Amino acid sequence: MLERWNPTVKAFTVLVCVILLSFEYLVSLNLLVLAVCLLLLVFCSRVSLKKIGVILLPACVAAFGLFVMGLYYARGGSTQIVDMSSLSAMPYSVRAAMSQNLYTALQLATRLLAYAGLGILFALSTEGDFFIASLLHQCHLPPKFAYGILAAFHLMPGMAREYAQVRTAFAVRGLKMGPLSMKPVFTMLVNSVRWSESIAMAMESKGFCGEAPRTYYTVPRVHWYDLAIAALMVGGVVLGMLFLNL
Amino acid sequence: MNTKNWKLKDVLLIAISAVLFGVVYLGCTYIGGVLYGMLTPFGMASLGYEPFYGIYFMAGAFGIYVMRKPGTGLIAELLAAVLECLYGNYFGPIIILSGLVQGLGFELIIALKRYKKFDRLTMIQGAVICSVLTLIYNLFISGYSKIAVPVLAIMLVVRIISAIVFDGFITPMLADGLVKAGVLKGYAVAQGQDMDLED
Amino acid sequence: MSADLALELEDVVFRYQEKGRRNILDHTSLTIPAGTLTVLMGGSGCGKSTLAAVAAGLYPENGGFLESGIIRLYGQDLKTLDPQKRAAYLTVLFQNPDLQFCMNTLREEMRFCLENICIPAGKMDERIEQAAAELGIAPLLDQPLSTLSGGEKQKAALSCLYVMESRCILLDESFANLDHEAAIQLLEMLLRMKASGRTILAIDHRADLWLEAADEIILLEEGGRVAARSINCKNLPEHRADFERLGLFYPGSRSERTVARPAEGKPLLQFRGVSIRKGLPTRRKWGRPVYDAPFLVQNTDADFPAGCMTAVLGPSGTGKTTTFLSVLRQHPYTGQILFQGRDIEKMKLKELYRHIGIVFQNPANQFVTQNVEDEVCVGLRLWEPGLSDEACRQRAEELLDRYGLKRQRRYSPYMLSQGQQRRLAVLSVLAGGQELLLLDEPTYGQDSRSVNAIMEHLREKVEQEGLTVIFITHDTELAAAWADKIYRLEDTMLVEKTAGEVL
Ligand SMILES: Nc1ncnc2c1ncn2[C@@H]1O[C@H](COP(=O)(O)OP(=O)(O)OP(=O)(O)O)[C@@H](O)[C@H]1O
Ligand SMILES: Nc1ncnc2c1ncn2[C@@H]1O[C@H](COP(=O)(O)OP(=O)(O)OP(=O)(O)O)[C@@H](O)[C@H]1O
Ligand SMILES: [Mg+2]
Ligand SMILES: [Mg+2]
Repeated sequence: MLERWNPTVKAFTVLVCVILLSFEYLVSLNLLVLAVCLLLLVFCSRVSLKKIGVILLPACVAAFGLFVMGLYYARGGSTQIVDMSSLSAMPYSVRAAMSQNLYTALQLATRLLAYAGLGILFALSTEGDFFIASLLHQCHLPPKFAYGILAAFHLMPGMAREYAQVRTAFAVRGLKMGPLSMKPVFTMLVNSVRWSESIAMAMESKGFCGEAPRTYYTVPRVHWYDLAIAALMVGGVVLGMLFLNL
Repeated sequence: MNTKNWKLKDVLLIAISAVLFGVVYLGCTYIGGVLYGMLTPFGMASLGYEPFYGIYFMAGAFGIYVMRKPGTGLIAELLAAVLECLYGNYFGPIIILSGLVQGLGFELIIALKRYKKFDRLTMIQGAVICSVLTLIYNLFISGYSKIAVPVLAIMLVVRIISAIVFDGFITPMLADGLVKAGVLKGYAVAQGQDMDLED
Repeated sequence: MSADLALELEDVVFRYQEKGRRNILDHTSLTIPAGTLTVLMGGSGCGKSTLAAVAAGLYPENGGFLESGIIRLYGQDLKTLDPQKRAAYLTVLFQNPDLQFCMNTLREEMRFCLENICIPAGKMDERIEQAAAELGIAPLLDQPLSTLSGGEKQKAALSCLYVMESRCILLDESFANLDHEAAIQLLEMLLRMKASGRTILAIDHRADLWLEAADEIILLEEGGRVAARSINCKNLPEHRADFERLGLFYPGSRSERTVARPAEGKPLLQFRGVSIRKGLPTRRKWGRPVYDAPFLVQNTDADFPAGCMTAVLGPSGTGKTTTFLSVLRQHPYTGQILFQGRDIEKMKLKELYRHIGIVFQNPANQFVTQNVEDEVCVGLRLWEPGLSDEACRQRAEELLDRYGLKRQRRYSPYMLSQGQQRRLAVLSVLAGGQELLLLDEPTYGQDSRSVNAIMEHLREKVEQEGLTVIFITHDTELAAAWADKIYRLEDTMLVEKTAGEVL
């Protein structure tokens, strides 16, 4: 199960894969990575298809944007000629230019999709608290930072509600504001400062102290299988780079 | 980097404001989406989100402007990135990488000024450096090196303007407003602004 | 310097602005014997919450400026203790029930507390289960903390203190959001804690509940100085004058019943078969929201007559606040809510808000300016556009004076004490000209003087301008004394009660 894969190892695996991919422009490898990530998510995690779809959509939009940009404005020098006969209605010059660019465009777009696949693999199968706990124990993130992040993370859902309430308050008080008005944002910022103070005080009053030793209810560990999956994934990408390039 | 002089409430302030700026950015992506649609026929779709790129740096800029101590920019951007990553962004941990780059941008300029100057000019310079660094990062990671130079230039200009507006002007303006509201007592930005409010 | 004192403040001088002229704690000296239950009372804004934070070592660490003074916990100088050790001696339950938590659910929060004090992982669950059973909070353990109602949050915060077992606990107004039964239940638990040798220090505006159990009541005056102490149920009458001088509630005294006017005016707001569910829809099917949460209010009818004050009572967490949100169309409901006979669903939000104003349970969410005076002016100006700047300020100042806030008029609203914030919130909404005001616990955390100021002001507006007021409160006496009509939310129904019944 992807959920049980140690988050720190998972994050590093994703990062290594991304950096490796950034050295290559292999459309096939990119698509392969995307496919593997999605398959892993579908078959080895509890994530629903709908969730994958929802998060994949903006990625596709961004990839399409990059694709169009590549198509129009790729830097010259692409040597791959793609068969453009299907677009024969276009004037020859356009076709020629586009056929050169098409490959570049595909390279850019699929690369972004491959990144998205890796990112989603992490994002959807990792629970926030577990990730932070893992950073705390595996990366020695100081508890002050770890719990600070956690507190802010847990404030997030409340934040949306709070923002709605601030907007209601403004509306009820009869103050005009457009959707872009900075006023509620400023109020929220004031609230953020206040919250940071109150929550810090509450945490300290509960005995939290950045430096003193503390016990932990659960301590995430790195098992052999965490590293094995990591090695498999990175190895797969390296192999892909070697062989698909031929 | 010295983390001893970070109080818990400093960490919380950065983290919570990062969440807030994240929400603001999300709000702006709707407008970005419209621009995206309009620019698509011209092949400039990706430019649609550029006008809001500066919001990405706001957490770092805000942290630096308010706290003014070594490492703030980097730490603030990293905190923001980790939070964004928790929130379920499709970039996942890759965000942390870009957070690092963004943080470096601001850190660089204030380090050059020996952590002494934190005025608006510094913020603007930081914003510009950040934009340039992130574009270089994009060149490698996002493969922008395959895009024609003039387009990249437009992109850079839009990004710089956005960064200057959001990080050089709006962020300090917000922070100064907070100082005036009296909520930032105890932070470097409010130093010497201790007012007597009694009649 | 004796170890049988739980808390000792010696000539403490503390202020928020380093260069300010006003010391919030002005040469405060206070001693609390170990193993006792002490109640601290004092006017709103006299520095009780500040004192709590200073005693716990949270100030000046997190703000403010401690000019001089020594603070000791069980004989130890506070300066030599780190948060972990301090928590072993003293923990605080803060006045504001929001913003006390850093984890997602109560169970995780309790674990966090236990981790802080180095309890071995294996023992944590046992302690948590035990606390849950003792305090009856098992149903709250796994609900996200941010969705709890005000009273539930206070219970949750208290149970965190309970598991930490520190030697002294300081409660800042922690029963204010609870109904009577719940408060009694918590009090019993506190007494058990006291029996096991712990010290309990409670800040409260009402001592009635504590009176029998308290070893001592201490009255504070401006500057956090002790005005009178060693008050208990026996010598109470001797101190009546002190209570009155400081504007505090004298235990046992009832506010006089104002003549309730027969509530027969035409109903301004009507509920017709209204049902409201807990929380928001959890999922959607074919794009339509699907509700599976339990009902808070079910198929209820109610009439809120025009030109009257209606009180809404009910245990904590029954959905009073949520009902208000529904009236503002900020929470989904079914059935019909009619305003002046018109379905509010058919009104534009903007129009609705011209008629209905609200004070939220947490007032800090509704300030729109950065200055106390401006906050009032905003309301005035909007409703009387012709008002000159000068006149506006003058009016605002008069109003602020009435609410005891004049001195703070140049403060930011966020620099006020909790009670002052709530007064300002009420005031700023009252400065508007809506016909219907919804007030969510307007008198919570106020001293007697402020409660009267608020209620008299409301009454005046009701009588002179025909304003209609609906207020939520946990204070049955207040409801009995001031309301023309009383509803109690129980078993998902709004049931009409008479003043005699609720008391
Ligand atoms: N953050 C702050 N900055 C400046 N002044 C403050 C701040 N918080 C409180 N004060 C001032 O300190 C005084 C005491 O506040 P405190 O919160 O201690 O009052 P309190 O006795 O607890 O009142 P209440 O019963 O209303 O809660 C108030 O007059 C308030 O204006
Ligand atoms: N967003 C939400 N999701 C789930 N449950 C919620 C949500 N908001 C409120 N609730 C629950 O609905 C119930 C009613 O809450 P509400 O705030 O209306 O209570 P209340 O009557 O005002 O209580 P109190 O007197 O303590 O303020 C509570 O049990 C609360 O836990
Ligand atoms: Mg208080
Ligand atoms: Mg409520």
